[in-house]
Amino acid sequence: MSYQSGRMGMAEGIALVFVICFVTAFIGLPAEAIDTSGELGWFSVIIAGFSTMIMLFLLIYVFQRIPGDLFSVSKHLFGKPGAYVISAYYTVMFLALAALWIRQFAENTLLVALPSVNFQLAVGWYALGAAFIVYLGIENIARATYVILPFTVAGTLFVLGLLEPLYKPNYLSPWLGKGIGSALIKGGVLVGANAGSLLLAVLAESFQNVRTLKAAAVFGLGGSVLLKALSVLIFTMVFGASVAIEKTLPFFDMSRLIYLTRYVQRIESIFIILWVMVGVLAIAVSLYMGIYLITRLVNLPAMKPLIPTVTILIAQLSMIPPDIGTVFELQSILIRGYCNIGIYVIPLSLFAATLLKEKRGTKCASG
Amino acid sequence: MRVRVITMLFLLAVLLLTTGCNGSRELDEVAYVLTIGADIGEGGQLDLTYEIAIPRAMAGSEAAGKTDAKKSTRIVTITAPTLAEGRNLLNSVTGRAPNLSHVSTFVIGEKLARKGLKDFLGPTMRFREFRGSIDMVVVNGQAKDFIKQNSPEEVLAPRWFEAMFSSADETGYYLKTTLHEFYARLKNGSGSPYTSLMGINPLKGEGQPSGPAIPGEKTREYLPKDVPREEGNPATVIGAAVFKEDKMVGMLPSEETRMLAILLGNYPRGFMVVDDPLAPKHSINVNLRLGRKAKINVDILDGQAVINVDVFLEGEFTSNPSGINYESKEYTSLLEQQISQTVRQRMLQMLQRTQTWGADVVDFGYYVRPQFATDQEFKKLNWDAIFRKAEFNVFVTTEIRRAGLQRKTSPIRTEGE
Amino acid sequence: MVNNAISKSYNFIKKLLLYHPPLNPSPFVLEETPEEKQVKSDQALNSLADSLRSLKALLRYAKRLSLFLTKVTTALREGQWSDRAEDLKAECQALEKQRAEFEPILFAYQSGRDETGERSLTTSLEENRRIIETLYHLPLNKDIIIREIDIAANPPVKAIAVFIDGMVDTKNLNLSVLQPLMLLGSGRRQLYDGDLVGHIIKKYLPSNQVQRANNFSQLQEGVNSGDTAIIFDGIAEAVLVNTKGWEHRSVEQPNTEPTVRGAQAGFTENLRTNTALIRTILRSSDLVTEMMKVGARSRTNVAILYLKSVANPQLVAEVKRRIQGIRTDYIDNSGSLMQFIEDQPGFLFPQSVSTERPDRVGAHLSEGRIALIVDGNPYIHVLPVSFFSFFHASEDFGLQTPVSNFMRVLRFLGTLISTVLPSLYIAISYFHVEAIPTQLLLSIAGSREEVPFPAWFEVLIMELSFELIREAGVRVPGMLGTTIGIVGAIVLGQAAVSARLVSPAVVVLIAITGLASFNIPEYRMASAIRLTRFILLLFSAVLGLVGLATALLWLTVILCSMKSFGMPYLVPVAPKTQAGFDVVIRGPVYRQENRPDALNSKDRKRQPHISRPWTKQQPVGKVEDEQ
Repeated sequence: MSYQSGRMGMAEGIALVFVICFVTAFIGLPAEAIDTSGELGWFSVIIAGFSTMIMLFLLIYVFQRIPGDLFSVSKHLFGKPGAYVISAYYTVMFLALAALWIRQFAENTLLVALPSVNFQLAVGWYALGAAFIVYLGIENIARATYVILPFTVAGTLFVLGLLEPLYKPNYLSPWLGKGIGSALIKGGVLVGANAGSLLLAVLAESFQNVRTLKAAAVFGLGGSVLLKALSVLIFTMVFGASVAIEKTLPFFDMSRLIYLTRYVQRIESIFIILWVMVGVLAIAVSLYMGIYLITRLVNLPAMKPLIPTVTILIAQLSMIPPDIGTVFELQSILIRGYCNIGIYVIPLSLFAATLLKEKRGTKCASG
Repeated sequence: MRVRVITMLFLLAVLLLTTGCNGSRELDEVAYVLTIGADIGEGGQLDLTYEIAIPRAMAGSEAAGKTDAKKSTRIVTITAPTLAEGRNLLNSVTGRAPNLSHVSTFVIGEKLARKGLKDFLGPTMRFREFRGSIDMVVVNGQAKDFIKQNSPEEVLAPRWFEAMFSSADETGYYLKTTLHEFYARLKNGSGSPYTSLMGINPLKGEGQPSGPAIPGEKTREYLPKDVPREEGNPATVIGAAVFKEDKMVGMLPSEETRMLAILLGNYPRGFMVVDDPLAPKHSINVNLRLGRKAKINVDILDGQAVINVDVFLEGEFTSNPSGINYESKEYTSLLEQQISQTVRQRMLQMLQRTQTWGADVVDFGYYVRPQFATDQEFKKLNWDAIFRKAEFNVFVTTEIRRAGLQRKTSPIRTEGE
Repeated sequence: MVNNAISKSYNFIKKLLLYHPPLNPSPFVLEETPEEKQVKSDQALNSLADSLRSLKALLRYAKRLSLFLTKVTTALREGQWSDRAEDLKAECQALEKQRAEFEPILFAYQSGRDETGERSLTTSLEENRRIIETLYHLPLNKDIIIREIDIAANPPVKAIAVFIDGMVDTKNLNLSVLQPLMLLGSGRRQLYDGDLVGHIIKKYLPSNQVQRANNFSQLQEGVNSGDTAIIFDGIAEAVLVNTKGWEHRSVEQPNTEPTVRGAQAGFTENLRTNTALIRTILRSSDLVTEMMKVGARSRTNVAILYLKSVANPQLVAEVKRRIQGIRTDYIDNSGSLMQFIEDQPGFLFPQSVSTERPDRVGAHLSEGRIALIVDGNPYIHVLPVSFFSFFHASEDFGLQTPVSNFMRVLRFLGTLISTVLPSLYIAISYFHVEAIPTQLLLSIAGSREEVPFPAWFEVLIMELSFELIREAGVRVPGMLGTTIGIVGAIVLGQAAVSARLVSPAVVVLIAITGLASFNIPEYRMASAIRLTRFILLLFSAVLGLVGLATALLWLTVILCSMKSFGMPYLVPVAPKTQAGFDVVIRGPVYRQENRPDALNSKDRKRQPHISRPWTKQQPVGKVEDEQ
């Protein structure tokens, strides 16, 4: 099997989950969270992370009982058709995320970094950038992510810290924002932003053991959720909810505001390096997941020949929406609707099937 | 063969990528705009004044020393409906591609400010070359004239603005006001925007104080035009322009701006001159600073707000000409009362003035926010209406901590004794 | 079909895009050794091995006995008894002595320590020789020479001389040891009477320093430091004659790796001298030198050095396999040998540290790495290495911890500057002017006004002329090199600025970049970084910081995917392994307890947890005060 995804340890797992969940902080997530839950946006991000983590732990419970990866486990539990449906579902999800992010990062590049660059070139650049590292394999992507991870965290904290003179704590109140109920419900819906963390299930076999999976879920997802919540918190404190919801690119806008002295100002372009790297990595990871699932689904001998084809298709797909408004609409359909099935319904049904099977198993044993 | 094909593909890629359509520009092909001034022009258009840097004046060692702000910049005024169109027309004027990312200050004419800044602010938040850290000032007069007549000692005009704002904490007579702060107040639940006030002084030395003195205070308050001064750069920064929504409603002179600074917690130090409580013809100088941030507490009962303000000032003698021993315990409290009284009255004067404008310039509404659980409740409150009817309770405490380099004052020897 | 460029490139692209299943077997990965996993071997197995060893020894004794008996019978049969009585008597005595050593308790104790070298010499020459062979891993190890000699006497004394090639002075050995023993004696001497060793030392060895040794650890110590050991048949004692004589001052200072505080000796072209130089630093009998011949015509000697008890045996086997698998006719350079056996010879970055410093090789060997020496080349390659090893200088551990850490951080900073500074300048000045402080921007822009070239071209010609100066400095003979460097740099820079060909800012930039690139201690790494810089320059000229970020990301992923002889290149960062306290910055010397985890060496521990037991002991002279 040449599509063997390599062997990965705790560090790699944490890094992969972190980067694929954190990438949304560089695009619309903070503004979206504040738009739905007002001043309580930061909390709804935590809620979203928390519910994703519960689902992940249910999945890990399943993997503890039935070793294998998502495909083989769902085959074991639901038979071949079930496995096909589930894998196809996640294939679409990951590829859709890849397309969405290619489009959004290309748009961001046009918006803030290279205003006069050709749109096709920007889309092609991100697709090429991701495809090249997909070609080198998930193991190496994960390791590189782990190398870049500290710089990502440090860079983000640096920006958040330098804004300290502009913090206005009372902008966090009224502390319930649009109401606790809406935060809970909408936070639960926002989990789509963490959908990428399901890669742990897809790649379960590549990780050393269940402990690695658990660590990746806790530290990778937990870390990214905490950092995202902190970003949203400080974003609210600096701009106030009414201005915050106007922003397309919260992180960029925050880095633009930094003014320490005459010499330390206008440093937002330095952080372009940061978000481009995280963006390309996230696109690459989701692209890899999609292609990996396809190879698994159709039982192909290798995945490398698929990479150029799928990348070109995904890049084309990402260029279909005519304007950024449509992109946002598609994003909310994808993240609020489609991804939630993947995060809630499938893990829960896998978990229930495992429980059922176990119960039946013990009955047989005793009887 | 393999190598040759790879080289071919590589060269092809280089050719495709370096065709120059990616928007790259040499440093010397760009016109760097440093300051933008805006006035009302004909037919509701904007008169936009651009101060553009001349890089040649800044390069090399031979130019240093000779350069001043006049030589290092040139000024272009364009009438256009919006900022964006102004940038287009600027491109036709300058030959080089205009770049606004180094703009450090928006200078806005008083007439435009009074008419409303909604249209002007439109592109400032959307367009990537502007940023929230740009300083905003209102000019008591025309922005165009101000930019033209401003002749600072700095090499570059924006450095004058930056230096000016970074030294605002020396007196508290004006405040550093950024676009971000202005915009956040405009959009969020409470607070009225304000900017610092600039103006061209006639330099005749005949300025008049802009209002009556508070009993017990020697310092008089001024607007930029009225500062009695002669010679030098006519540009003067003093006071604050207060906005209600996006329209300017009034100007706060120097002393009242200082009260605003105290209430905003943005008052590191500043001299204050008061009457000698025992010998009123003498005056006493005290260097004051905030002991802690002002405690602001808003009680709302049946739609009626009571705003309690508790200010604590610390001070140091800088002059005590009467010879009365204010350094000693029993006299100090007299002086402290005098200062507290004066500051309190000034503060009330400022608050009442802004209240009549309906502009909550201190942003008391910010302190009300935690009393509500949800957005909906806070919005229902309609803070702006409540502010107009609010009652103020101002408590000022002063503590003279130090007596400068003199530990006491011996009286001047006179013949009569 | 026409065979023109278009069809060729079409075919090439088709070949590139079509999927071919990989032909090569999966690459070598450095796994954990069984020794590392299994901490203690089985007790029962140990005792079994002991009894096997003693049985073997007994068997050998029995063979010798039977040989003696046949000798006696032939002598008796042929009636030469009177002639050979003395001989046979002596041999009989020797046999009896050896039998005495087979006292059961003593024997069991001795043979158990066979491998450790702590046992004392036996009276049997053959036994002694066998033990030496196991100690020095003969016949694997080609450095050790065992020379058999017969000393003329009545009866003649059989003896062996043991020494390390390259460590001894051959002339000295021939004239003052072998000649007197072999030539100057007479058959009438009776050496076995009384103290044979003392006799020989006093009368027949005209050497200035002679020692007696009665156990193998003494013997090894002597041999490893250049002495020749002479062991006589029937005597449980050896003589260590001073024949030290490895190459001293013909060894020159290292040319490309000078240090301020490290050793000043560098390798030479002579392979034997080089092995001896390493042995003078690492005087362990565990150090194995294996020899191989590479090149069908050149028959170049290639030596593989490693510490038998530390280096991962898989790794040694793999390196040997790769070297044996080379089919070429000529090799003269260790660099070209490396390209034959590297994992990814096509990549920019070197996968082995090349050095001309024995101390550096010694330090690496003691960590469990392998050194490759090619005869005729003074550069010795150490492998496998991680990316971070290239930024360690040999004197790092000689300086105080904070000082050497400062220098290391400086080196990494230099590397960063030398990699990205020009491309950062191009990216920012072309696409992101807002990031430069206004005044600096205006002065750069102002100084550029009269320059007739685009900025990327400016940077490129300055970079190229810098490279030209560097290359010319290397090629021009002798003292002229430095002169050309200085003159070239100053004159070119100054003239280019005053002729308005480049702006002063670019000259400063390139000068800093050039200086920074010389901070990297390893020449090949510095060259790789220099080339990387040009690639990054291209990316940032095309797409600004977005291009630069993508290129840096690609670079990281490529570095992550590289392996140096089965060991991941970015270890211990990615993949994360237990890092010793010696990656970017280093901990104190006494905290370096473990060898690098990724090497999977046989023995992880380098020094005990408390490497300074004196800190726990009573200081000298304080005992009285305590009471």
